[in-house]
Amino acid sequence: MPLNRSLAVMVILTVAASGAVLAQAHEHKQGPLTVVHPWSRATAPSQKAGGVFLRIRNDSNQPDRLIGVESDRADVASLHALIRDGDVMRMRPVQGGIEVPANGEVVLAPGGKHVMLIGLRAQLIKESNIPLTLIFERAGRVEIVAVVEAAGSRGPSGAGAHRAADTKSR
Amino acid sequence: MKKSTRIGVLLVIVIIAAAAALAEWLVIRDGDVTKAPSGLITSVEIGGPFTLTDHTGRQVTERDYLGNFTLIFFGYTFCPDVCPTELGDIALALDELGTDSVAVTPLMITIDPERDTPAKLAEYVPLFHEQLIGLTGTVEQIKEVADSYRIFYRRVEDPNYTYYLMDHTSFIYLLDPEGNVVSLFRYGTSPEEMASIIRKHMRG
Repeated sequence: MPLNRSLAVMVILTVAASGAVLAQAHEHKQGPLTVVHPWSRATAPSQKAGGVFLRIRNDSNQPDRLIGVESDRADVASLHALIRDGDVMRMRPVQGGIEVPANGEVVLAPGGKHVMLIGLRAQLIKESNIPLTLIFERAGRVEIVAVVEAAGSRGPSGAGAHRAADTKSR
Repeated sequence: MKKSTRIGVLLVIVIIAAAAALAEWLVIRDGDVTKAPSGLITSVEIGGPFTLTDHTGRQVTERDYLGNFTLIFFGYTFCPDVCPTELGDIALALDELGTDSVAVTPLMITIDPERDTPAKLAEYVPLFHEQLIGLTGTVEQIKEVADSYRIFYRRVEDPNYTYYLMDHTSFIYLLDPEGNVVSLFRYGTSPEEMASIIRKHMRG
């Protein structure tokens, strides 16, 4: 019984801890870099691609460069950009990485640059977490956790999402 | 004319012709547009009949959606960024319309019929809005409807993975209850703007 009880306590604590990540805009700090609120969008069970969006702040006098990304949630994780060619939308890999300016920031947001997950190994369920590793030229590897928002969300914490999209999964 | 010059001229002609053919997909000519005295567009000469399959597996035509305003978006479920954004914006525009949204049917027509089966669309569309209907068809049926709406789409292969993405025009069309295209929303049109234009057409 005591063992069962301590297990139950552990489960509660784990759930509470992951809830804490969800409840607030979260950040990952490493050296001069801060990765602010990485988020993604819920997918359908058979949907095989997803985007991760985030903001990177650089408090150093030296620029850095995001050169790669890894995640065990997908066959391939890469840096992509949406290119608007008139009214035609083209999705292309980013060549040479994404610069994080000195004493500045870079935003990866819908309609622009993003982390692309191709060949998702499991459905992205609203309010779940996606662990990722961002690889920077200077700062090295930064472990982050992206929070999954509603499928049609326009920003972190469900900003602007239609209320019916709140159902976790169908 | 020297042979190399002739080839050069020919090449230029081919490039111009190709560019013109592409522009044809994207441009709506003044002659295509009919306006009411108020300046409100009453119809644009694009679109037309179609036969497709909805996400419940039912065969449908454009006639099934007459009597209601219709929003048509061409996209695909593998789409990682643009389509979720556009479908999310359609959902917000419907929210903005409040109870009037029952007079609007949102449709997503896939431009990736090889992967987007009715079953896949059935999983996908409710993530965005309970009224959203997904439509697919044979490769020929999709080409026909996309052509009639002057939608450009093309499969893009990447050697780094076995999956493919699509380049595609991202427009949302508004059709009136008679099935005329009366407005076209470009990527980036805010849900509020969409709702206000739909309202304008509802008032006539």
